[in-house]
Amino acid sequence: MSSITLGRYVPRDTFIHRLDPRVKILSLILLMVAIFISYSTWEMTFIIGGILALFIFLLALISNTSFKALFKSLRAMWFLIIFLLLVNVLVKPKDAQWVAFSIGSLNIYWESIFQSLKIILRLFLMVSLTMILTTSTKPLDLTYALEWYMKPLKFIKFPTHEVAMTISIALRFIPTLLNEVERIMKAQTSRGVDFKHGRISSRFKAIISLIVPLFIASFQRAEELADSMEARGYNPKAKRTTYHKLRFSVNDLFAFILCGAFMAATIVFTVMDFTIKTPLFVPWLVIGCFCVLVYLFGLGAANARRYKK
Amino acid sequence: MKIIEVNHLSYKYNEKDVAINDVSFSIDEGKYVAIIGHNGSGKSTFAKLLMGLLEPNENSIKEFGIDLNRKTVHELRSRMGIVFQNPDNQFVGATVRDDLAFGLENRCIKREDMDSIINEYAEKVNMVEFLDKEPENLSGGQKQRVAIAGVLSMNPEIVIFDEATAMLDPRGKKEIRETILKMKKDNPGMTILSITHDIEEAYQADEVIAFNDGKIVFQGKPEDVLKDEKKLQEIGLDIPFVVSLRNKLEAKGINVRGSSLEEVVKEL
Ligand SMILES: Nc1ncnc2c1ncn2[C@@H]1O[C@H](COP(=O)(O)OP(=O)(O)OP(=O)(O)O)[C@@H](O)[C@H]1O
Ligand SMILES: [Mg+2]
Repeated sequence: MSSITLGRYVPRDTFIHRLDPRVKILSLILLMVAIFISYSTWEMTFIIGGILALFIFLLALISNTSFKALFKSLRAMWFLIIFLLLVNVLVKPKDAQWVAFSIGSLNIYWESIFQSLKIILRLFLMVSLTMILTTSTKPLDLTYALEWYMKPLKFIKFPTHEVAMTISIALRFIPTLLNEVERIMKAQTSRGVDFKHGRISSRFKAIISLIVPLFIASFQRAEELADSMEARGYNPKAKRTTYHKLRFSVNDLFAFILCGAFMAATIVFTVMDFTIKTPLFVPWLVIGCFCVLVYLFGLGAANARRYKK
Repeated sequence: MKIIEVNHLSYKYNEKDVAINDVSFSIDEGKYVAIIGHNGSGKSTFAKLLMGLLEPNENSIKEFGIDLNRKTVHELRSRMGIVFQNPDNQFVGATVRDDLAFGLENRCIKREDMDSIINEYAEKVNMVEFLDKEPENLSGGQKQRVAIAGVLSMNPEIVIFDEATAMLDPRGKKEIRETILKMKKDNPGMTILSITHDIEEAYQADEVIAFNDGKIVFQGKPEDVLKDEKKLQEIGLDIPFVVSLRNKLEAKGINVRGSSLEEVVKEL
């Protein structure tokens, strides 16, 4: 079950935990765009990639996300990574000319190596960002944020409230159902079903002996839950008030500006085709990074003062 | 005043099985009524019919003097509450706080008022320190207490317990039994229907109704009903050894009141 706990919400009280989930989702999208923008030269790719990596490293540090968990996610993707490496290295890029080394008659190009590194870096940054979001935000808050973003869909009669309710109930029952899986597995094991060994066909049978009771139990659960919700006056069509209020604070504005600036900068770089040789690019980059650091520092200091009583 | 009146109520899930078979009776306001009966005798079906979760035959149920039908079901339901058997399957929110808020949201209570109501009712069932806990970190008894708080926060006039203690360990059972008694003491006007397999709990009630195969076979004082061991066995109910012992002693003219073996022995 440990793979499921990867990226699970960890209750803490950090700056990032306190941000509005709507802002966090939007920032995630902005930063993802920044991660996926391409540049014409390798140096640019790795400089911007490095800056983003540093920024995400900072985010992980601030939100108290464990680095072990982040790297574990990399381990979980090992198959994908090896596959990407192989495909990229074996297939010769169109205009590749910079041979790194050869194995027999097969030439391995630097370009292909860079290409694979770039993809892995992007994947890692993307997964890390998502994990920072999910470990620092309650699933329920994410649901409320999604509901908020879906609001315009109400005009085309899209059942946004029902969808949000469904997601939040699903989230609520994940641990309960996992317990159930464990319980059924134990029960079936004691009847001689073997989940870990044996031929494919017998393992398949073992899985069936897990799935069928799980489904039956889940349906019964769903029915009881529906009865209970109805008895407590739930009526999706009727008007309801909401207990949760999403609050947009000054900090959220600052966080949003920062992530927006990142995305804007990367777009400007690629559209204007910046390289390190562009006049004044390096000084501007240094000044930009310095500004971001000062900004973060100021934000940190301001918040430390506010929350330390 | 008669708060629940049932007249020729019948219900079947499908053509073959008749779950409730032409039942008629009434319950007075403010009574604590225990409903007993063997597995599959129709008790849960009956509870769901009273809550309007299953549709009864026409003009068969009157609550608060109002006929229960499609038009009145929402209004009537808002004056009643039910606690089911499985602690997990009635926990809707992500945390205790969210779960209590769920009922208040359904009632369109203003957000500003919710926190104080949540705290008040969590306090009543001793769950304040667990308000931000997720259900998987709570015991069955604690979850049932949350369910009770959720029901109480709606100010119901009738509360139904459908084997609310059946899935709990002895400690959880005791917690819930005490919570129910406290609830009864705090709200003397509240009518409580408790479906139970626990003869001891039935003894605490003002009145006992026994179901057998979709029919009511007894309605009366617990002493009268629960003493008739033969009859109870006939309808498939087990009598705990202590109760049986107590009944035998009483027949010999020795009156004891203990509810556990040790207490009875001590009294003797
Ligand atoms: N959803 C359903 N569909 C079909 N038949 C049902 C359904 N629920 C209950 N029954 C049948 O109705 C009859 C009465 O069931 P009910 O659940 O009311 O009994 P009960 O007295 O609550 O039993 P228990 O003590 O086990 O809770 C049983 O024969 C049962 O098989
Ligand atoms: Mg039942």
